[in-house]
Amino acid sequence: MSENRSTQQRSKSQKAPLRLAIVGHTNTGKTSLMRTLTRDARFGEVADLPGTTRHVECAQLFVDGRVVLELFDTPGIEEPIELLALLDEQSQSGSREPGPLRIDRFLASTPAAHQFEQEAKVLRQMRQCDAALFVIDARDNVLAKHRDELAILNLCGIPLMPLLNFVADDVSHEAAWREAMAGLGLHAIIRFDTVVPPVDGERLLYGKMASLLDSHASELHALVESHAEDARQRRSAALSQIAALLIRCAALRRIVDVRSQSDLESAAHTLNTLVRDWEQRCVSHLLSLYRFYPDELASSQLPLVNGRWQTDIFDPDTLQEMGIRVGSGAAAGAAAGLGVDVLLGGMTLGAAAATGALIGGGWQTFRHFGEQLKGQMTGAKQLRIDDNILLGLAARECALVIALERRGHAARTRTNVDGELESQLSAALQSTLPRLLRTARRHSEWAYTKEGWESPGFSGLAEQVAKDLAKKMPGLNEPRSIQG
Amino acid sequence: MGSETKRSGFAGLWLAETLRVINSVNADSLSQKAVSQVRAATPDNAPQTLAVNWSLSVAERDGLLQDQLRWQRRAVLFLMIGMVLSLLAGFTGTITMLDSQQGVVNIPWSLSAILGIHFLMLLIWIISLFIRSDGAWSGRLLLSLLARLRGHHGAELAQGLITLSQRNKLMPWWLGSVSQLVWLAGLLGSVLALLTAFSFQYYSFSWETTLLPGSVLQWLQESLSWLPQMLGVSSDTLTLADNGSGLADEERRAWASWMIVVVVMYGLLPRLLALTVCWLVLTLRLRLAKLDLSHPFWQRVLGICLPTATGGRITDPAPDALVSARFTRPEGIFDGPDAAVRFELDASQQLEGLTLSAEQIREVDTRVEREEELHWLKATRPNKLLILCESGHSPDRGTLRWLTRAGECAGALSIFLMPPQTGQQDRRAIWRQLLTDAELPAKQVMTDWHQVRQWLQPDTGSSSWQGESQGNV
Repeated sequence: MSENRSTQQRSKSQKAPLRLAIVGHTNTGKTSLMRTLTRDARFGEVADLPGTTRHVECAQLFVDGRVVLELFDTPGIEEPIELLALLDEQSQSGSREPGPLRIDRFLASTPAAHQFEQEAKVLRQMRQCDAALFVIDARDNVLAKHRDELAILNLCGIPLMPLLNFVADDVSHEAAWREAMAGLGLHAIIRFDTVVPPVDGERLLYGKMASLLDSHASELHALVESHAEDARQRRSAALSQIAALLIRCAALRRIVDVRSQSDLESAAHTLNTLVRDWEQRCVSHLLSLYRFYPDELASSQLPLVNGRWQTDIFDPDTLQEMGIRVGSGAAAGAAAGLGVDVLLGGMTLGAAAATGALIGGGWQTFRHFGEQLKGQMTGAKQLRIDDNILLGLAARECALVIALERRGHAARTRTNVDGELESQLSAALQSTLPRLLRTARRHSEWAYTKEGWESPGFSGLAEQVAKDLAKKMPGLNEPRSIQG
Repeated sequence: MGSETKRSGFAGLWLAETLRVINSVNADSLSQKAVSQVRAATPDNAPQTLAVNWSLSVAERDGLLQDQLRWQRRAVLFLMIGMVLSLLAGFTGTITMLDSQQGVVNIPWSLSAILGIHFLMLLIWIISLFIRSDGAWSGRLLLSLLARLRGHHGAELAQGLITLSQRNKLMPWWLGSVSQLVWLAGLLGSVLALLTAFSFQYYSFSWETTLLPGSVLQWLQESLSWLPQMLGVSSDTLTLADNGSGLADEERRAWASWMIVVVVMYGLLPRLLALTVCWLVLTLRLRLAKLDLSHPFWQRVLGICLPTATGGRITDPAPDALVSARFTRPEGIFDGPDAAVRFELDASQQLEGLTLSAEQIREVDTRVEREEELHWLKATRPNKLLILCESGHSPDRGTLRWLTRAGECAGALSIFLMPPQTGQQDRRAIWRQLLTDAELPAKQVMTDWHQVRQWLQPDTGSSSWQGESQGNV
């Protein structure tokens, strides 16, 4: 059946895809590796239980819609010692026979359909593949069963690439494993961690595979390139989403009567609710952009609970954690606690802001100042979202994007976005972001612009803001460093 | 999908952009079958073609295709109405203007009335082409006009057209084409009016001025004649008439045709030229028009239409049931000394809690060790057998099989789960579950040295499997 399909493939494009079996002892993270490589957190079933996967499942990886790599997830091998004993028993003339012959003889025998049914699935798949990745839990000791397993897999006659999983853990027995593998002539070992994939891990993984399988090197390199391009595009889309959120929030304003404290508070409350809703919408968009399925949110590695931030952006503690000091002189009284900047008749508006507005403004500016002038005479206050809140929003949404990018699709536990990253981001953004968003302050109509109906001015500013965010974010393949 | 051929090119892009504007369309909303049809229709997997084909599929389903056709028809109708109105305005304006002059046509006055505003607007249009503008005001103007095109999705289609046009710098050329067409109609009306008036009424012609010196009129006449002359329409026979009364019939005819030629040359011709330029640029840019595929919406759509990976095709299904080992009650008499087995334990794992002597504890890991151990157990038939397992390792069927076989060789079996080594996962719960599934009584799985010591004491032990499970407290 697979033979038939691969010939079809060949006629379509000149080259058949590389077929790679993922094999290994039970419960070493084979399906997790599949999830990471396919970037599909829904692939297969993952549990800390032996024998979770009992079938062979194929995943295809594309470059420009063409299949370049077929991965086969296989059941874990559980009885290597007994199987090797059987193989030895089956070969009359000792081990001088070619390995594939011995494997084929075993596959045709009765035990292959009975006691060793799972192992037979693995070996049968390996006989149909171009190469295999042997997944090792580096935290395990090297045991006799592992050595026997390697000996069996080595009989299949295809390149076997050991992959040390969970190397991020402190107690990996990496040296012992390397030694054991060297004994079988396997020197090229791939280090990986499916839960905490190294920043450049995938590139290294495919790079190493390319060097071992040079007939497929160009496809593997193309795969790496296409993944990198995807990541770039996805990040740029994510940042424009965040930029739009920031512009909306910056544009938001409300005029209230200064004489009533309760009016002020209820207006501030309305603003806060709007901002929370918009932030939530932005978060859902980001999750869907990064192919995060709603049903896996509960067990995700993200700092969210059920796809929501746990902490309120208007909580001073949240901002404090991001290194943003709240309660500046301009924001007065109760409103400071609400994260709302109060402008009394435009008088607290800084001189710099005023000139900036006048230079770039046009009609909007005059209307803006007109309202303020009117406010000054009637005693109305203008409420808007505080710069610090905007900074906080920007920092935590950007940190979420980084978490989404760094997330191994195999992760099953939640880790927090580190507060340090957020404070670095907010510090880096402090010098430029509020100045950029000042344009949005003058366009209160932008706050309520429907998605997709943004005016060219809005889109232009969003582009600028996204560019600024991109400048301050760590590069896609770089370790975490914030450009200041 | 027949609609594909009809809605290819810019119309397809426009539909796609409209869907982005509507935005309520969930990127996941197309059925799997429709998505694979989209993919099949895009053999080269070009992202933009995929996005357009996806949009066509959604648009067809939601009836947006019909809406767009209706919208286009209405837009053309509006344009035609505009042109007819402009033609009528040009015609009646010119007729009125001629009528008001009571038989003697003041040529400079009439020409400036017909061509003046036209020239001014043409100039503004040309200047506007060189001003770098984001098209905001023109876009908003068009939007306010197009928003009148009611009907289902009318506003969205308009917004889609506008944003797409703005991104691809089409806006000035759309607006240009429309305004050239309208002006063309108006000027045509003027020419028709001149033809009608000069055909059916008696007119004389004059060049009049109050302030200007006569040389200015002379210069004006000569300059206006320049273009017609270049194009082969001679005006040599004409002399400047300062008073319409004394003109011969030939002269009047000559002046009348000269005037019509001037209006055609300076009115219709520049507008036709401008229209041609607009259409040329438009066709060129329409062909190069692109969607903003970096937009989150398209990223989501492409993620579905052009996945980087697909999974979930099971090529070798799981068996209904696995053959697995079961613990059975041993038969016979077991009177040998108690024994302990360090099963796959690391050498560094110390057993401080165990009271047995060194000879009673044996290491088991390799195939040979496993077989030797089973032989040894069968030979010595120990009363109690304690197997120590590494709970940081994952249990497997091979392990279970050996444990069951070892269990058959001793009067009583207990399995002690060593606490996981530092950094390893605590899998004692998994071990317990698997051992229980293999029918080993839960009390025989121990994690506490105190429990082990108690079990190993001679008086509490029993040689029978049954007695063992009761004897433990």
